[in-house]
Amino acid sequence: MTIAKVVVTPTYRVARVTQQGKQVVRVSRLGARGPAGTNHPIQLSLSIVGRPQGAPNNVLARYSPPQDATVEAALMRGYAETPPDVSSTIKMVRVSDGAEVFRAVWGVGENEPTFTVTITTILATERYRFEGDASVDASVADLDLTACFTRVE
Amino acid sequence: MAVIEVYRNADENVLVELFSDLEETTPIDLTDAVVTVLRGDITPTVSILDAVNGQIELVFPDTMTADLRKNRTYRFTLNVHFNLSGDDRPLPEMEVFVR
Repeated sequence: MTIAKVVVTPTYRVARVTQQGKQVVRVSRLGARGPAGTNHPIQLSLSIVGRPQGAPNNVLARYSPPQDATVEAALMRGYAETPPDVSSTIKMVRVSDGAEVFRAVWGVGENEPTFTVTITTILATERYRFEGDASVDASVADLDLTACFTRVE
Repeated sequence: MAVIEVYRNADENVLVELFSDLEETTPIDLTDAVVTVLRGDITPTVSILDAVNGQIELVFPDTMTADLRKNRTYRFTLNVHFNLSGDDRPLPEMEVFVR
């Protein structure tokens, strides 16, 4: 078996930047979907952790999918490390420009809320470039945003 | 030599595709193969992503890149072992540059 050529491609990258008080996670992925005709959706998970700075607290998470991706499912889950659970207060809002916006509101006395935004996308092309931004605009400090891609079989 | 750029504190994945021709038309069949890090000063997690299409995925988790130093180069070498033939095929050394 002779290996004549080795092709190396960065497949995803997560960069964090702060823009005008917002924290932005910029995610990109370049790679192959797999054999032609197969369907391997890519699941993008965003985790947002924030410490309440005032009350009421409000987190707005926004995800802008690439133009050639179809958002198949979007879900936001949240919980607080200390009760009461804030899950029931989390709302997901879809806006008309195609972006996914998630809004979470929690009350006085609740701290360390953790949110997970899970977005499953279908990518249109066999070899693709995937770029999307997620940002959080909130009255919270010490926000930490992370993102990762998971291949869904 | 392939140079991989990674960002410190970031999750990074890298796709490695193996071909038996320079035109990239015939992928190496990795169905019976095992890919490991042969040597190096960094050890990404290696898995076969798509055996029939010669695709290998390298994962550099943020827990690993957090320990790397910016503007430094790390090196590693992958080995492909084919179980049926018993052949070992070390790949060219790869460099990881940390942004």
